[in-house]
Amino acid sequence: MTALWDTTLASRLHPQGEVLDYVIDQAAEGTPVRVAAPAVLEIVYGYQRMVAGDARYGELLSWFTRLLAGDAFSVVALDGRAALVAGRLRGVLPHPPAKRDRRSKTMRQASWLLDIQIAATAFAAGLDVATENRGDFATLGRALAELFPGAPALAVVDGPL
Amino acid sequence: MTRRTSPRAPRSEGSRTTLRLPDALAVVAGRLARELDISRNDALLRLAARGARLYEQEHSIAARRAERWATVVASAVHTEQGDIPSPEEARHAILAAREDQTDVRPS
Repeated sequence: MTALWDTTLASRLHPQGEVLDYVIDQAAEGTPVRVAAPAVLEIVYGYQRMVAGDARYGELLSWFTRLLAGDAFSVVALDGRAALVAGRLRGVLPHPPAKRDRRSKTMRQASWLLDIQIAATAFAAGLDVATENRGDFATLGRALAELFPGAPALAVVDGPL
Repeated sequence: MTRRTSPRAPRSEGSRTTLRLPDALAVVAGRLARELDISRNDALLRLAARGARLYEQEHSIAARRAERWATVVASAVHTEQGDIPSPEEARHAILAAREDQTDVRPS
């Protein structure tokens, strides 16, 4: 698997889910699943903001922390190269594609910035993107192809399960 | 009296080679051989094949990473005059983008 998981896929990690089995199997095979650092941010943010009102999310946060600390999957960082690519990408695509979306414009904008970071992280790391949000990442892939003609294209693929 | 023999590796194509096996690898190969009831040579071949797959994947990712980065570097814009904005203009461009963090699509 040479694809980087975005938030839509990585958010399916759960102690009771089959995704966890897959991730552990891959780690045992020596080919750990790769998750984008901004996706880790979104997952942890999602849990943390719920903790005050629902202690179960604190448990989930602890579990996720242990999972990450145990190297069950590989986190691919937004490094200097990826940051440069992300900045250029954001410059040409400052706003998310227009579509029906129940979220506020502010939250859509925040998600879009993270998707840009994930696409740039995958591009700079020589990886593809695995996502359930193929439309937006295809848009980002086209923008990368226009910015950097001749570069190996960013493929957008489905998750393994 | 029956003598227990290790399973033989299946006949395979390819060149023959002789190598000195490090102890640590011999232990792993021996364990895999027992688990799968195959010969130690066959276990070694399986371990090597898995390692080769991993190596090829990493090699391919590294090559794509380098090729993409070369394209990014080559895409830097150069003007004939070599003019660049003043320090104030450059800083304003960066900070204005922060101010501009509007969620309203420009009309």
